[in-house]
Amino acid sequence: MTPGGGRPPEHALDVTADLSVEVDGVPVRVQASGAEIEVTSPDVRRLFAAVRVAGGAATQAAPGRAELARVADTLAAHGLTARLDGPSGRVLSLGADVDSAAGSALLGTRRARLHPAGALRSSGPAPVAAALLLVALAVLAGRRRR
Amino acid sequence: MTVPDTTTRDAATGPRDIKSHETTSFADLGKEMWSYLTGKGAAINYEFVDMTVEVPRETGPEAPRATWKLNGTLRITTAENASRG
Repeated sequence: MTPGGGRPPEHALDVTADLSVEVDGVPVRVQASGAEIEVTSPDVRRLFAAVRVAGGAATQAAPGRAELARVADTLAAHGLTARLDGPSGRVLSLGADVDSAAGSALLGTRRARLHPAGALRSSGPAPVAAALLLVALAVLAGRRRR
Repeated sequence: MTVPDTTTRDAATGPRDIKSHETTSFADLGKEMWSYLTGKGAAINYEFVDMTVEVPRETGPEAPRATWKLNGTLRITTAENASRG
């Protein structure tokens, strides 16, 4: 649940999901069991574009690294890890099981990792927009507060 | 979309007062409700049946829309309560 086998977070959540989502014509599959959330799409590039539209409409500004970091850190705070897979393999990992020095330098958080091979093949403004799909799930989940 | 089925299995996790926080919008209310229910050991179950969400591509009442469709189930609970089913 945490890199290096540390203690699970105080506010850990358990998610079970079997969702079929169509994002502006792009099919997306979301499956989750426990702390692992898997998001797959056969057209990651178009998915990124559609999610960026939604993110821009919601915030009146194009999403950036800060939003990506917020999503990754929120997932980690709840013990969750989300992974996005495209037809060429993994594109992005976010959350509790991720500890990336490159993510810290490039994306502003160690809890996010861009997988170069999958991301390059999918092209497009990958990491930030992809994360916003996960924002939609995070909004549904809300935030636990004591 | 069906209305989320919210069930509380354990109401003995200590005193909580949902009215103690100022609520300013439906989003805030939803967050408060979530915090309150998960603190009580609740599970939140969503079932989406041909749910369609139209997202404006730009500002303005006549803005073209992107369409999102959802089908399936989503269950969220506190990890310590997950094994109780």
